[in-house]
Amino acid sequence: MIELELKGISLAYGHKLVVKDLSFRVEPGEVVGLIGPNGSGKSTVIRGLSRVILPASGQIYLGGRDILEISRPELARLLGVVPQIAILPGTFTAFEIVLMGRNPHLGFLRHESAHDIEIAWNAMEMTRTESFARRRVNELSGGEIQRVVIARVLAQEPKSVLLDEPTASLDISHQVDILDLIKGLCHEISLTVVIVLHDLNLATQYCDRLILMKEGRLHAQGTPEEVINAHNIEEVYGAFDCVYPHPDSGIPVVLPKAGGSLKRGRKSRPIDAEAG
Amino acid sequence: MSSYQAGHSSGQYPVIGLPQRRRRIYAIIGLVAALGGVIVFATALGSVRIPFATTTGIILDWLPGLDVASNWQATTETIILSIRLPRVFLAGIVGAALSIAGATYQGLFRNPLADPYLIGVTQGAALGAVIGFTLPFQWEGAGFGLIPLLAFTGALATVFIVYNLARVGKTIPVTTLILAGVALGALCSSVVSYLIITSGEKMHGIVFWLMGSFSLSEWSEVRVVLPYIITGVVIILLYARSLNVMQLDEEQAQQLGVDVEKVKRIMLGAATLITAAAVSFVGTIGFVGIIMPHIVRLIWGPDYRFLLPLSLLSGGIFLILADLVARTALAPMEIPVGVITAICGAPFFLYILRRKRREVFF
Amino acid sequence: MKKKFSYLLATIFFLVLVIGCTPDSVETESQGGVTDQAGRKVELDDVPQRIISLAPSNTEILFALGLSDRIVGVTEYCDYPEEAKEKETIGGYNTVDLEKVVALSPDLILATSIHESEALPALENRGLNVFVLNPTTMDEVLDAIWLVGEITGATEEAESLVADMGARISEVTEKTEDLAQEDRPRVFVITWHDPLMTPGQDTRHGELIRLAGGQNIGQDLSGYADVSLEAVIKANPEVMIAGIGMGSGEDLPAQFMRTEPRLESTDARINDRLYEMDVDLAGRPGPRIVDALEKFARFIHPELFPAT
Repeated sequence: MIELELKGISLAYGHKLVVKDLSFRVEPGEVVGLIGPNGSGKSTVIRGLSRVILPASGQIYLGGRDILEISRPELARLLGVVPQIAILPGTFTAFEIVLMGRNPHLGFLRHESAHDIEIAWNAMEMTRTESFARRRVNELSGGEIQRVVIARVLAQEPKSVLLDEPTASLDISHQVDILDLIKGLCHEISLTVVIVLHDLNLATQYCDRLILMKEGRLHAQGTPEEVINAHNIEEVYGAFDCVYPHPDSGIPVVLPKAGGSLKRGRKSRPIDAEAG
Repeated sequence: MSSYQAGHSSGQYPVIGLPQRRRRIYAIIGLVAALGGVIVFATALGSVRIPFATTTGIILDWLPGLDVASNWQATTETIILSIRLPRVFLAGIVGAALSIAGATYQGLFRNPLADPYLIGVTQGAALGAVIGFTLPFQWEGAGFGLIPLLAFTGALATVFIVYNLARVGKTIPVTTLILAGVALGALCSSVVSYLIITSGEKMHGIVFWLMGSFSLSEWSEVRVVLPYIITGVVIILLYARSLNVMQLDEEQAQQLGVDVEKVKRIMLGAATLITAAAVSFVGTIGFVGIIMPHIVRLIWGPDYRFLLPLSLLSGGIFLILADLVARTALAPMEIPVGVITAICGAPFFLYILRRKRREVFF
Repeated sequence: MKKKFSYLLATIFFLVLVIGCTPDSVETESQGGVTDQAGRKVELDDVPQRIISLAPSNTEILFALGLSDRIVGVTEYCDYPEEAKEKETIGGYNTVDLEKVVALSPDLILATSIHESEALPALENRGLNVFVLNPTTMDEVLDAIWLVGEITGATEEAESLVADMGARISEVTEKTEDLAQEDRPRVFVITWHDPLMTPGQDTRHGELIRLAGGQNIGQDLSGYADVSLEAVIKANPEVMIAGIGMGSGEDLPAQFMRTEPRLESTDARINDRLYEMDVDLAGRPGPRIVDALEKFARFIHPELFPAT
């Protein structure tokens, strides 16, 4: 069980600052969703957290340790990442890809043991990808590839998991399935999970806490009810009048409304003009 | 750890991955045996007819520990042991070296067209060698002459320059490396062409050398080349698993714990060392470094832990056979072995072009 | 093998040093050490009976000295005299088939400077005797013939051949030696047409032109050099000579010389002073080089050397 904490993190590509002075904390056993419009810096945060890019300022702590001081192999044992777009080599089989997730746990020994194979296979069963384990990657669809990558991260057995739009290519049944799996695992074995989601409704349903970003900064954080409200949606997304309570659970639901965008050059909301 | 599986796994898993692994191990053993056979076979053939039994007798007698009653002439023994055998060995070593280097480059650059000559090794070696040819003096020392020494220096110097041109801080972006290699390679080639044109009578010798040939191979050359190649091969095989993981993009590989820049540096260095050593003694022999890894991949799959040793073995076998054809097809004239490998290589590439989906073989 | 060599060589070196170095005055024992044209002392245990030649010029010398039945191997390109074509071949000009050579058990191998860097060490490493011939001037060709006579024991034949050749050379040079610059026609020897190449002053052809009483338009060049068409036109050669019989069948340089429109304005074309000669005569530094000289003399000074 390890916590993840960002303190005053700024991330830049070259001179362009994309994430500005971001601070938040993720506890084990809670699914934290990172949401915000395109370009708000969400994927960049994931890359910063996984040490693909180094912070321009600020620190990141994993289990109380500065991640810059953790060796790469050890970091890989603690942190698993499902990237937004994963390029996979076409001639490897799905199983071989998932088995690569065991890499951080293997020393200079050359081969995976039966135990590693068992773990990889189980990861595929969990993500319901075992039926194409022997098929090559270039024969798989985008959604199948995405689930294989998730299986790989599960095979990695990290203590914390970062997922960047893990369900983007999946149809709805798989979306629900995977997110159920992740949320379940998170709660059962106290994983530390940060998940970037584009779909606000999935975010409200599956995340225990949400972090809303706007233009690289933290705009709001809290429970879904606290964060997803008409005011925040309007301010951050420029879309208004689209937050409703879910008929069963009461959790906020976002339904887009035709003509409901502030970006179309209106100075005020039409409803004000209508209301007398 | 297994808490991940608690409640989620069926507790059983099929036999997966293991039959494949076994098949590949058998392939390695098979190829080692084939290599031995090919060595004897190639040594038995040449422009002078020698009975097969005599050849085997001479070879067995030569092996330490064995002793066979000699009923052959001294000249026959000279031909077998001091002309053909070193040549076959050198061809095998160079073929193995170029193949494994080619496979390594293909893995590092994630490009099916990568070959050991991509980043300027050959052109640098050619430049060094041509300078050696045009110098008016000779030099012999430690078993090799001026030309291989200059070729080796030229190769390493060129790659060193390319590497530093491409370096951005601590990283080596792969595309920049290729571009720098192509640019510097072109520069070296133009200087080589100029030197060839102005060299007059020595031109014939230089052009022949550049085409690659195993004629007049000596045991001293084998002794000098072998340590470099063994060193490089061992290093490459040690990092084979990392090379697998690096077939994912660099970000993912890093996230799986691979120190991508370090592995790149080390494997690039090892593969370059191997190629430089091979090219310096033998000239440039094309196609081996690019074809053999593809053939191995098509048959036995892309796992580099097997791809690398299998490329090593099949490359050695291939070049021994190609050299055999080069020296016997039109005996006593010799065809440059690079011509033979090209004859094999061109149809192979056409074949690949016709398989429409690139992803199928890489 | 090599160590034994060096002790013996050291002794002989002393002897030779005392006696002198010019070919005319060295008196060697019948099989003492002979210095080849690469400066190497070569010593044989016996009169060589199995000789291999690695170059057509060397083959011609051996045949001219009457040693044909001692020749066991020649190159693919050795085609003169006719009997040479019947000998066993051991490779091309630059590629020596080592196996074949070893299998033929030669006791003497005649090589050229081309073989020095690679084939020579390979042959010596296997205990074979190699003698290098590398004549660049007419005198050195005569010297080469004399040396072959020495190393093969055919000294009488060599002396008489050299004397003969010397006499024929003198017949030409006594008429041309004292010719003034303005009596020497400008000569363009076309080595190849594309790229256009001509011999410089330090080549065999350059020397032939000079001895035959001509003026080489390429005299400021060195080796077999590229020359621009402009420079040739500007030099306005009075005589053009091309080699024929190169084996490609078409004799392109000769064709070029006769038909290239841009050369129309040269004296050589206007006066039809265009000549062709078998390329091997001047190309091979052997006995036939005197034939080449005589032909050049006839081409360049028909008035002094009427065709017979």
